[in-house]
Amino acid sequence: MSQPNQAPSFGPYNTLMCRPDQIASFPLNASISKEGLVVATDFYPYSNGPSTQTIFSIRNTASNFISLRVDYFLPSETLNIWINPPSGSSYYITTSISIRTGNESSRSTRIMNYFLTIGNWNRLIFEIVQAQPQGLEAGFSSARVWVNQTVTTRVFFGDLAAGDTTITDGDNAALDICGVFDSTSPNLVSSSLAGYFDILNFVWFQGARGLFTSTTGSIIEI
Amino acid sequence: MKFQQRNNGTCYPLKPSAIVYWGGKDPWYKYCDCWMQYVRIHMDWIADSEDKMLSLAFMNGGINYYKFQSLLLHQFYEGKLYLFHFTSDPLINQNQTFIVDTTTNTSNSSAIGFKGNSNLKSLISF
Repeated sequence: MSQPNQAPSFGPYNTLMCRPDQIASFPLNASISKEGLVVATDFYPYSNGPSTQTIFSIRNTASNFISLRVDYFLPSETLNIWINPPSGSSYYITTSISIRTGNESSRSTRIMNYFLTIGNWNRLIFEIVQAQPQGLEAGFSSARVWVNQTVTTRVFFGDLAAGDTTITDGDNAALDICGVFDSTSPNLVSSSLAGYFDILNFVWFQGARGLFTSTTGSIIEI
Repeated sequence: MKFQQRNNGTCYPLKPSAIVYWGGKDPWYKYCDCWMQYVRIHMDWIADSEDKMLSLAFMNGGINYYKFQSLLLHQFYEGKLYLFHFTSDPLINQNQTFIVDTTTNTSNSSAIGFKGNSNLKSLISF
């Protein structure tokens, strides 16, 4: 049987090769914690694809409401987290962090100078978590992003008192990678947010967890 | 902002010789057999800087969960860990699924993810 059009290819070493109009989906058929998540992955960007490329998103498979996305901006080679609150407009958490697009090595010929780009893999970690227990019904949420062990400052968002929780909708949850579900697109995958990158070592921790650096070593634990 | 109300009744100043029992097993009671998180004890401390205010706000000091039971103190991690294996098998679900290992503090299991949109899985006859 042929693969559906939206099926991404798997490469060597368990690599997920995301290309436009493709999506990989992990539906839980259950609710997830609205208190937060930690996602870690290796990420290999290319110079192709649309200007905004979604790496992963959290979606309600019944309503197709998307609570959050993690987007890669190709022109600026940066990451940002898109939040979709229960009311009001969606917004980006303004903490862009640059991606390493490769170690460029110049080569010269008699005709031209050119560059070889190697080593584009980036280790990314996203910590999106409640800052206070949501049971208190007061407070806000926090997000940080690590890129190759460089971390952003915490960015605060949401309003627990107003029901604007860390993950807006945790019901019927699915984690989509490579692309974003779009009911209006022919392949049900958004063309404007299509991914053009490779993914490796993808790990998702569901729940309220934070990252800290071990005081007895240099390993970041999740 | 929500403030916890202090209990009505007699309050006493804390003496240097005071002992704080946490989670039970004091001279009168056994362990509480309960889960605890976000427990903090501050002494001679006031949040007089932004960093201290944030430290108060973030109840995530290590995000460790503890259960007091019997004589053991267990460290417990709440939540689920999913590890994605991006590989598929032509002989399994017609090469259209991949394995996601699921780990909790008490169990391990496997689930499947879908290559392509899972909303279309009804169109795929396994």
